[in-house]
Amino acid sequence: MNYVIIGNSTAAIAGVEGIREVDSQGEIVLISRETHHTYSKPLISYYLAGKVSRENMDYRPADFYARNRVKTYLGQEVTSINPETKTVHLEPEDVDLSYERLLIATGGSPIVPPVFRGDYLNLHQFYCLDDVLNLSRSLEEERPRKIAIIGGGLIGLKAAESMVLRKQHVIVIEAGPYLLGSIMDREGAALVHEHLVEQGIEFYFSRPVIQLETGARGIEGLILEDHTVVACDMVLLAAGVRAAYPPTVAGGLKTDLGILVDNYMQTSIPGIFAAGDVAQGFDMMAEVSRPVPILSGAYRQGRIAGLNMAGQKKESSGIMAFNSIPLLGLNIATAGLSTEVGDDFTPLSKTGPGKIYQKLILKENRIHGLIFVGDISRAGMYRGLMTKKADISSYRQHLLSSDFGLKYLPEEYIEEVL
Amino acid sequence: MKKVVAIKEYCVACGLCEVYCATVHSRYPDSVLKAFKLSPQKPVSRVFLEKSEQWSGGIQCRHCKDAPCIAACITGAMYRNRDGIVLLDEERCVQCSTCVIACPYGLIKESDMGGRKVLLKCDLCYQLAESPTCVTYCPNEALIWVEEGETL
Repeated sequence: MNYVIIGNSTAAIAGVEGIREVDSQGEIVLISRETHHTYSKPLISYYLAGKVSRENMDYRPADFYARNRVKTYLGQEVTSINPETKTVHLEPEDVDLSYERLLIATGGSPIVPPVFRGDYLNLHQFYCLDDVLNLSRSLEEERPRKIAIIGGGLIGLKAAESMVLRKQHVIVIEAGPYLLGSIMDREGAALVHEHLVEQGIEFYFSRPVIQLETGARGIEGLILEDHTVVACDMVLLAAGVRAAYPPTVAGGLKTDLGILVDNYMQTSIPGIFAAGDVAQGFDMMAEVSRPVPILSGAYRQGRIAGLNMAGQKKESSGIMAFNSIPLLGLNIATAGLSTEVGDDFTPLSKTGPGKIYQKLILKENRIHGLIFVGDISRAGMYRGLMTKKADISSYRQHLLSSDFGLKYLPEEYIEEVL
Repeated sequence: MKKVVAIKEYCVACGLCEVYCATVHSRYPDSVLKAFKLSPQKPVSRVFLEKSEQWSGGIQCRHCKDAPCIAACITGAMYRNRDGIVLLDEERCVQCSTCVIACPYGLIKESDMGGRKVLLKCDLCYQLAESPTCVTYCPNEALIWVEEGETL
């Protein structure tokens, strides 16, 4: 069997590892538009903050490709995929590579709101390593005083954190009504907001940028919907990510918000698999098919794709969205649903002392979501119960108690753990 | 691979598993007294004594076959060594704590080492020739070191 993998991030690397668990001989070719050795995308903010060195951004050791006998084409772009001839075309190398199994792990690409489309010297993306290498250079050369970050989601706030740690003045513009809208409820977000304001970050909510004031340096001001003008001398875009589809596939892959995959990570075309941020698989907590763009999901999907590509039937039960994001000393962990989506959901929450907020979202005696701010030490245990779809009725009254632990769980659960 | 198994019927909740685990991972691995009296920070155990009115037992990282913490680690710092032991490379860890929420049993712990956050988990004392320290010092043989699937 021979394999071609497009991509070089988490899902692609997990694909290699999945294949090699089953097939030590087959030829693996890995193609990436980026020229770097595989690195971890979530580490870009840590790199900017000086918390991780360039070498330690590598997601796998330097000998990873050699050890797994992977032939790489880095800095190459796939320009077409032909499922009839089972080939992909590469540029600028100008070669056709044939595959028996293909994995599309092209990840995501940052959303650029229409108002920011244009060439501005001081406008930066905040998505991949090249973005932060450029940004790092600009910060040193241009010495900006006020940095505006577009988007108060996960990426935007990690970017804000790194800028604060570099002693920059930071303004976050969030089009929605509160921070971390995709993973957080209002109450939790309010705590995060309070903490970040204390750290000197300025915020604007519910008012998208509708126009730019430009000058010699590029963007010099942002005009918000209510005509507020926010002066800045650098702008970082963190307005979200969408699936980065590969170029035209003859015959067409079925897509929705990502490439549709079955529980084996196979796309609508046999022999072609997809995993990671480009794929749309099953979200086990929302119980619908939707993209869940997180690293652990990309790893799981990539590995399952690899196993199935190499002939071992392995079914995915879906993935769960979960995150842990410390922000300037405040711990935040979330999993599954972040808001009650209907009448049959019951929230259970606890606040204080200090900046502590813990909430579980319950439905039909199961935990469907959790939001922990401040104290996340037991978050894993609750997430474990979510994964197992455990019936919590016999210990419901102990949930979120300070001594919650194995002792409250049913005998069979305890036996399994010990 | 061999795992530590707790026999909750034998455990008397003496807590020595935690004491010796904390000691062996401290600056003074050979002396409980020194570890607790001289260490700049109080030594922290990676094994947790769980106890209720009916039972107790020491529990630590299960070194899961399909380890959620490895899948979730954003740096690649969480890895499995050749013997199957799940280990955390502290050099590469950025303390994002994703492993804390990834572990379905809540067995990875954040600890404050004099202002520096570190993530701690059981390493099965892999650098020692003998059995893990919690097993060695369990006075009641309530923690045993056995091949997986082996009956007691």
